[in-house]
Amino acid sequence: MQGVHTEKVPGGKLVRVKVDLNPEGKSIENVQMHGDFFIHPEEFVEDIEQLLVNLDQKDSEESISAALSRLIEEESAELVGVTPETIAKTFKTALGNALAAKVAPEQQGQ
Amino acid sequence: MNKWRVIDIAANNAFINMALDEAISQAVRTRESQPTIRFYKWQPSAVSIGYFQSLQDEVDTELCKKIGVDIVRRRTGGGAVYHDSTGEITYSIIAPEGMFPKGITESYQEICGWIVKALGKIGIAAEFKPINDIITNGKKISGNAQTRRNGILLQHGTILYKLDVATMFSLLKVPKEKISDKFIADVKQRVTSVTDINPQITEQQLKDALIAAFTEGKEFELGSVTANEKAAAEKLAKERYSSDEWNNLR
Repeated sequence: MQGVHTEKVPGGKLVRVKVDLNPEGKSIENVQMHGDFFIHPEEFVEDIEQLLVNLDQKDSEESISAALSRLIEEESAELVGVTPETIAKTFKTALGNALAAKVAPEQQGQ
Repeated sequence: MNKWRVIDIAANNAFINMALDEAISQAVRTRESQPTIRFYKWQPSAVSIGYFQSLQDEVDTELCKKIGVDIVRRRTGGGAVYHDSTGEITYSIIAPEGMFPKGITESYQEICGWIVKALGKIGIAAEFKPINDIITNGKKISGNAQTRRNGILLQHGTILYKLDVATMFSLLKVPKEKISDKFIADVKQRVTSVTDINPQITEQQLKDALIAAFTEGKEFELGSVTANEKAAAEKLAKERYSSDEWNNLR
C-alpha cells in the first residue's frame, strides 16, 4: 500500500514523498523522497528517508520536523529549496494517504 | 593553482557529458588539472534529471527511446531538463570550493552573475533569481545546478538558445491533459531563449559572449580534456551514467 503526496515549498522547490506500508498496513516499509530540490551531500537524502521509515506513525509533524533539523545539524548537511517543515508535512500527508488506501483503496487520492 | 583552463565547446552524448564533469572534478581534486570552465552540447539530444528525481515520474522513457533521445541522471539536484542538440549551450565550472563563497546561494549568485554578464554583452538584460535560475523579463532563460564533493565545487547549467516547447513537454512528464495549446502558451510565458528575444543572434555570438564573461578578470588559458580525464570519463560513462542502476536509482 502506497501513499503519495506532493508539496511546493514556498519560495522553493517541489517535494514528493512516497510511503509504502507493509502488507498488513501496520508499519512503514519504505519511504522515498523525490523532487527538484538540492541536498548537500546528496546521499544525505537516504538518511532522511531512513529517519522517516523508523518513525512512530503517531509522531506529530512538529516532532518529525525537529528530528529532521537535529539530524541535519548533526551531519552538517545543507538543504536548499526544501525545509524540514515541508518534508514533515509532505510525509505526514503521504502517510495519511497510505493509511486511507489500506482502508479503501478505491478512494485513494494522489 | 588559480589559473583557469577553458575547454571550448564540444558535443558529446549525455553519458560522456556527465562523466566528463565527474572525471574533471577528480582531476582538479588531485591537482592534475587546473580549475576548469567547460562549454558543451548534447549529441544526440537528451533529457537529464536531477539526482533526487524519480526517472519514471519525470520522463516519458518510451518516447525518448523511440526518437533517440538519451536519458541521464545528474550528480546534481534540480529539475528535469530537455537538452536539445541545437537549442542550448551548457557549461560546467569545476574548481576547489575555496575559490567560491561558502554559501550555496552566494556561489550560485557569483557564477550566475557571469551568465548575466554574457547575456548583457548580446543585449539581453537578465538577472539571477534564487535559487538557481536566470530570468529575463520574468521568464527563465537559464537553469543551473551545483554540487560540492571532496572539496570540489561543480556547477553546471544551460543557457537556452532556441526553444522547442512541444518536444520538451512531450518528453518530460506533464499530465497529458495539460499539454494543450494553452499549456504551451503558458510555458512560453515562463520560459524563453536567446533567439526568442533576438532571432539575429547566432550561437557563435552567444558562445563568444559566454567565454568573454566567464573569463573576465581571470588568468586563463585555452585547453582541452586530458587523456587521463577522457579515459576516466569513458569508464564512468560506461559503468555509471549509461547504466540502468544509476539512471533508475530513485
